[in-house]
Amino acid sequence: MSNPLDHVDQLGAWLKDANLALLELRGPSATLRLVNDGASVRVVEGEESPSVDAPSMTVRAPSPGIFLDRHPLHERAIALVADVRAGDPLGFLQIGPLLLAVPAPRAGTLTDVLVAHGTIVGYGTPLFVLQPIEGEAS
Amino acid sequence: MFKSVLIANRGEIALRIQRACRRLGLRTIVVHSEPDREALYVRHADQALCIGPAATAQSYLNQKAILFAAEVSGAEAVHPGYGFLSENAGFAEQVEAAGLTFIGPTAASMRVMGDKIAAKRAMRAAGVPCVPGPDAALTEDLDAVRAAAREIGYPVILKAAGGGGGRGMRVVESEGGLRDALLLTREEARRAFGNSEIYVEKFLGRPRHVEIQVIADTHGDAVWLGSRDCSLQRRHQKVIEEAPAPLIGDARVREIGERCAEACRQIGYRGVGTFEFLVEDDAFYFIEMNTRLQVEHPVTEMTTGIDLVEAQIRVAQGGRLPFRQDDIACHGHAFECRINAEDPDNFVPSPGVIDTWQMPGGPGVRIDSHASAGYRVSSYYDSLLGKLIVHGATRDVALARLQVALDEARIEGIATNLPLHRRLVADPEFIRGGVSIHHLETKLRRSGQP
Repeated sequence: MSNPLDHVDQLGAWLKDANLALLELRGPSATLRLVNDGASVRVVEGEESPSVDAPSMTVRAPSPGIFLDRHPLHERAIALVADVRAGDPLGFLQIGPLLLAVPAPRAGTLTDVLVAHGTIVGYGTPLFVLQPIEGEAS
Repeated sequence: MFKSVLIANRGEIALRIQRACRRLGLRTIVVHSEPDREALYVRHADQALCIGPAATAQSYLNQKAILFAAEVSGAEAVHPGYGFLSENAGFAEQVEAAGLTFIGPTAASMRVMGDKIAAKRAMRAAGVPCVPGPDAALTEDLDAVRAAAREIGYPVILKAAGGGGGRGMRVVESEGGLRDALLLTREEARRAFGNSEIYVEKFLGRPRHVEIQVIADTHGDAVWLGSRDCSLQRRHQKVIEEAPAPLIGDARVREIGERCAEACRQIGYRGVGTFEFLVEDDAFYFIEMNTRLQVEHPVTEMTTGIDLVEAQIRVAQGGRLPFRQDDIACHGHAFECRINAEDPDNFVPSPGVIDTWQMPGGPGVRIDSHASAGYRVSSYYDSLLGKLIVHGATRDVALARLQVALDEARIEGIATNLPLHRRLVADPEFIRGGVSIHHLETKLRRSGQP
């Protein structure tokens, strides 16, 4: 598959022709942003995806919903300072009859829950803090 | 009757809708993208919910996120504003399927009006005058297309059935160019709109863009609320609008207005809508209907004294129109300038932070804007910063107020089209009134601008 970075010049020319200010391409590991200021088109450093080696990580709500710190059939929330594996559900978002799991994006130790059970949250609301598991390479 | 409204839009129109809701005592839920978090209307909302990152596909066009926000907030109605999902029939259906009120027409009305051929057929049936040409898609039979074009008379224009806003159109000067134009337009229509149907119409050389505002309730009543002239356009984007359309006889406008209201009754239309016409030599030709609130609705509000957004919400609540046709009159004249964050010479968008924001005032001056000093103009959205609207007892009085207001307005930190507006309101032909839709582009070309 061709890489968009190989076509920056062509993309830039199209951006100028179409009088568009910005073109953003997002991929799993990188973002390409081309900004047209009228005189020229330049590549702007994109936001980087969070590194899995970051010392701590905030897990955010992927969607609007009502935050639940436990599954409705479970009595207890996930314990703090518990070690979790990547993909483990940390909490849930309830949207009417829908229940969306909020999975751990990586393995780590859950050190903080930032929102109270039952709170309405929006996209991007910080929900949990994960720290690297002690003793493992950061 | 709903008591809460989710506003599925951003910028000045989100604020405009919120003001109407608050005056009606309705709870407002504002959904917003991450960069819009600090906007004034987000802070004023009874509840604000972020629905996604800056990119519109993941936020203001993200139907799932908006419906989720409506569910968790307990919203009972959705106002789509203009642009984004306002003319998306599928979204309107989903909103209603979720048990909420969509503040707009039915999905069926939106589908008919979204298909330019179906719309033309419906308008002809209702007695609304249309541009000469068959109200059916062209077939692959080149001889039949030639015959249709010959009957209309050259020049003709080929248009995509799924197009709109000036896209998917090609002018054909003579029969020699018909075949190639047909192939090209069909291919473009297929690629751009996923619908390769095209149709042919008479091409009008120097038309004006005149539109009629309507509102209909769910009890079978519909009225028209006067005319607007939006001929001052660049690349099909309106720059200055005014109401009423100057230099067209009242009787002619009334006749067209009555037909528009009648068409609404016939098709069972509900809510606000706009019938757009090309006008040449006092003859009106229907081009399309916008099934939503328009950016330029304030000029109609200023001349009729009717709050269109409030009326739109009331009819969505199931109320009867609070006025009859005889109660509606056009008082004075109004103009609207769209203030855009863009370079006034090359029209390239100008994102950044506004350092200075000084807006004019005085009698008959209205500013509809969500911007202020310190506001960051995002590169992700269209460049409309707000609208300067003026009203006066006559067109001359309104124009004088507009000239002074534009002189007073100061926006610094980013480039805006204020200098262009100042030039336009001093243009003798614009001052005289009744310029064609090509006037602005011709004027810009003469001064070497794109």
